Amino acid sequence: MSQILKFIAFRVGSALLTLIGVSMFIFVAIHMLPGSFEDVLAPRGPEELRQQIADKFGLNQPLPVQYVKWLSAVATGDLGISLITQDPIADSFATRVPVTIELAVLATITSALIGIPLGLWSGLAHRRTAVSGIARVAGSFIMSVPDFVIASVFLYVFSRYSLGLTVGQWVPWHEDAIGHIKSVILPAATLSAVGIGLFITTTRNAVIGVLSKDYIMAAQARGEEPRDIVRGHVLRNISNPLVTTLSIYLAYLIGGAIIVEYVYSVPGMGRFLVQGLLNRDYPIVQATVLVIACAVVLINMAADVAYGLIDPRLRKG
Amino acid sequence: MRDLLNVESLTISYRTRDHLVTALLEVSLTLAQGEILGIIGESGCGKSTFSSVIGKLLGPAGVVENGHITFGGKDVLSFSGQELRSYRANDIAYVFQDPMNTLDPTKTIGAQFRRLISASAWRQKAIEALAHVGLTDWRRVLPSYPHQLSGGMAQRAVIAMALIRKPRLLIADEPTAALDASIRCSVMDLLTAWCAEIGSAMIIISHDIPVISNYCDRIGVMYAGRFVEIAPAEDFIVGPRHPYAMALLASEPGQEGEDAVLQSLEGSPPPSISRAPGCAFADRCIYRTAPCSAGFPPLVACGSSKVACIRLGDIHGEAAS
Repeated sequence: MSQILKFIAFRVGSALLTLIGVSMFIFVAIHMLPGSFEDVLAPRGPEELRQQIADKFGLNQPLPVQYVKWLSAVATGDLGISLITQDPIADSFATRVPVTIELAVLATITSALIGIPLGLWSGLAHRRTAVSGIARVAGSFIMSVPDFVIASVFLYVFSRYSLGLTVGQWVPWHEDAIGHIKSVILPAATLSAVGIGLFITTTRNAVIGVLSKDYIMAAQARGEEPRDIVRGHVLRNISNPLVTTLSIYLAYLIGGAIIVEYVYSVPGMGRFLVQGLLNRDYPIVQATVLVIACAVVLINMAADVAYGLIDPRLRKG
Repeated sequence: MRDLLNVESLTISYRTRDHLVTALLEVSLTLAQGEILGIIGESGCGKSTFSSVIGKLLGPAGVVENGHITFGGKDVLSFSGQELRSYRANDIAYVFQDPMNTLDPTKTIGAQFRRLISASAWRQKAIEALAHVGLTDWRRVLPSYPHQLSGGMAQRAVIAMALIRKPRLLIADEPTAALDASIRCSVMDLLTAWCAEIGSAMIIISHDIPVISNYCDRIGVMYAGRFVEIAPAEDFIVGPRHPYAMALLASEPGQEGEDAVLQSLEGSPPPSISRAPGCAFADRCIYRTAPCSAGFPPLVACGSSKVACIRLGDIHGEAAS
C-alpha cells in the first residue's frame, strides 16, 4: 500500500515540476519575442504613454517578480484577466475549453473507430500484397496531407454544395442542438482525417510485428482458430502501441487544433492562444499553455496506467 | 511397429521477390510409432523447415514443390480448415526453442492452459500436467505471467501444454538450447519419460550431439536440404559413416583423448542449396574425388544405417552393400 502511495506521490510531484517548467519556459519565451504589449496597444504613441501602460499592467517589473506574482495568483485559482478586454480569463475558458475538448475527443474517437479496424484488416492481410499495398499507401497519403489542405477542400466542397452542413460558423450546443451537430461535423472530420492515417499505420505495423512472434506460431501449431488467435493474442498484444498513439493524438489535438479552429471559426483554445500571442496578451498565453500542459500531463498519466493494465511486464512491484 | 509418419521425396522452397530458394530437396523418411528421432546439422541445413512442414506451418512463403507427408495413413499436405486444426490440436505438438517467446507475455500460465482444454476440468488437468513436469507448486505457477517464471520453469510449462492432449508425435525444435546447461538433462529426461508413457513419437532437433545421442533411437544428419546419414543412435555414436557426420562428431568436445586436438570443420554450409548434380558437401570434404561432383549420391543402406556418399567403401574399407 505504501508503495502505491509513494508511486502516486512521485507521479504528482513530477507532474507539478513539469507544469512549473512549462510555465517558466513560456513566460521567458513570450517576453523574449520582439514587440511588446505597449507596441500592440499604442504602436506610434509617445514614450510617456507607453511607459504609463507598462506601469499600469506591471510590465516594468523584473521578469522573476512578474513570474512569482503570476504563479502565486494561479496557485490560488486566479488565472488573471486579459490585458486587452479586461475580462477574467477563467470566464473565457469556461466556454472555450469544452469546445476544444469536444472536438479533440470526437476526432480521436472517430479516427480510432475507423483507423484501427482498417489497420487490423490490412495488417492481418499483409501477405496478400494488393490489400497491404493499398492500405499502406492510403495510410501514409492521408497522414501526409496537412490538415489545412483537407480543411480547404472541405470548405470549398461544402460551401459550394451546402449539403446541409454548417460551414465556417460555430453554433453552441445550448442554442441549437441540431445546428451544433451540423457545425461540429466538418471540423471534427478534418481533424479525424490525419488521425485515421495515423491509426491505420500504427495498427498495421503493430499487427505485423505481433504476427511474427513465436507465440502466434505456437498458437497456430496448437490448432487454435484464426479468429481466436486474433481475439486472444493479437488484439491484446497490439494494445500498447495503440494507447501510445491514442494519447499522443488526443494531446496533440487539445494543444494544436489551431489551424482547423481558424479555418472553421471554432471558438476553441487554439484560436484564443494565437490571438493572445499576436496581441502580446501575456496572461492569456500563459493561462492557455498551462491548461494545455495540464491536459497533456493527465493524458500521459492515464496512458501509463493503461500500459500496466495491458502488459503485466510493465507493472511495478 | 506400424509407421506413424511417412515423408516421401519432399522438396520445399521459399518464395522470395523473384525466385525460389530451395530448403529441402527430395527428403524421405519414415518414423515408427513411439520412435525418437534426432536431427542434427549446422544452421541452414533444413532442419527447422523439416520440422515445421510436418505441422503444415511453413508460412505463406513456403512452397511444397514435390512429395507427400502421410500421418497415420492420412495425407497431411491436403489438410485445411477444421481438419488441419484438429490434426495440429490432437495428433501433433510442438515445443520450440525459447519458452519466453513461445508463451503469450500478456496471459497467465493458467489462462494459456485454459485455451488448450475447454473442459470444465481444465484446472485439475493442468495441475496434473504441471506435476508431470515437476512443477508441483501450481498455486504459484498457474497465476504467474511467463516473465515471472525462470526459463526452465517456463519450458516445463510449455512441455506440459504440449503433452497435455497426448499427441502421437511431439516435435521439439532445440528444446533445451535456451536453458541453463545444469537443467538441460532433467528437462530432456521428463520430456522423453512422458512421451514414452503416452506412447508419443518424437522428433528432436538439436545442435547438442550428446543430448541427441543419449535420448534418441535414431539419428538423422542433414546437410544442404537433405539427409546424408540416418543411423541407429548406438551405431552412429560409435562410428558415423558420412564424412560430414564424422566431421560433426569430431568437432564435438569430449570425444577426443587427453592429448588429442579438437577438430574443427572448416567452411560453412552453402548459402543457397544448389540443385546441380553432385554431393553438396564435396567442397568441404577431405575425401573428395572427381566423381563426387558427378551425380547426387543416393541414400544407400550400409549395415543398419543409410548413408549418402559414393566413397563409403574407400573411406571405411568395406563395401557399401
